[in-house]
Amino acid sequence: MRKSGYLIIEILISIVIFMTVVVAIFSNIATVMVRTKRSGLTFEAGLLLQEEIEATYNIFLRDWTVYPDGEYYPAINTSLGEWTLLDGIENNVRTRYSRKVEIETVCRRPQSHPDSGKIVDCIAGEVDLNSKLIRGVVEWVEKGENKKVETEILLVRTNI
Amino acid sequence: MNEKGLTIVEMIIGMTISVIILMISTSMMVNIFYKDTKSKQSEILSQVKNDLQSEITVGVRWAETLSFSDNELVVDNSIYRLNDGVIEKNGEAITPSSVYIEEFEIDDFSTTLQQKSLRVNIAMRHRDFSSVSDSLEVVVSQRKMEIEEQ
Repeated sequence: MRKSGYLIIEILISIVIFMTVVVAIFSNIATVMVRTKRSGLTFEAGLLLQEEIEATYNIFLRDWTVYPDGEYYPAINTSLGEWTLLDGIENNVRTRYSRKVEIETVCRRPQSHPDSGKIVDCIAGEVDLNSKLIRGVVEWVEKGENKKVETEILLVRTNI
Repeated sequence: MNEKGLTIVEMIIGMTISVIILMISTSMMVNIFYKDTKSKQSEILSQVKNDLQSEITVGVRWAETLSFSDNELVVDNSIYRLNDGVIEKNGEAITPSSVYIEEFEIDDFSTTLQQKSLRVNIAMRHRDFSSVSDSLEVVVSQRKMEIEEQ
């Protein structure tokens, strides 16, 4: 005679199906959360990159000849209440990031050349004292993977 | 004789298993919905940060005239003001009512008098979920527009 009710196997199958659905939903949400966090970290790195480029731009409006080619990072001169550049790379920015601003001399084709003014390697051109290449770099490690955002800005001096 | 129905022991075991499953599944579902809701609120704050960052950057960078005071930034003809937890541009809200702006602070670190370099700090939280909070620190320098004669 067949009894009414469920077999243990039926209960187990229903539990497995239920758990599969729950895990599927949960992993979906977890993926969205991880992506949100990742894009948040990249956005934060972008803000730090913007800060170093914007600060360097403002510094060079006044101090064109003060900083030779090299690696720097922006800081606030607390006694003057203004931006300044310090030598080297800044580490542990907001516990996670490292950043630097690279200042490079710009060389151009000489006036006698058909491509006069074109930016080239310094072996093939002349140093342009009125141009500087500023490269901003922000790096961080995310789950063991190295991440980086960078940008360049060409500054041209007009108030000689 | 094979009697139909359940014994009290079978019933108790069945109820115990049902309650355990119900408790686990309920806590999991509550956890999922809580994280989902929190994730959505964080997403709103991220969107506000994105919008404010581009609005302030573009505005200040290409401004001809620039001034600021407590909770207020004036960029040419646009006045950004913190009013009752909302940032307004010329009196119109540019941040959603679901986001409470706690701080709108501006510092000037310019090296020249002509072109300003501002650091704008904005702290915010969700109005309904105060544990969901975020902040934005954006630095932007005014560009030099005029080209001087050599």
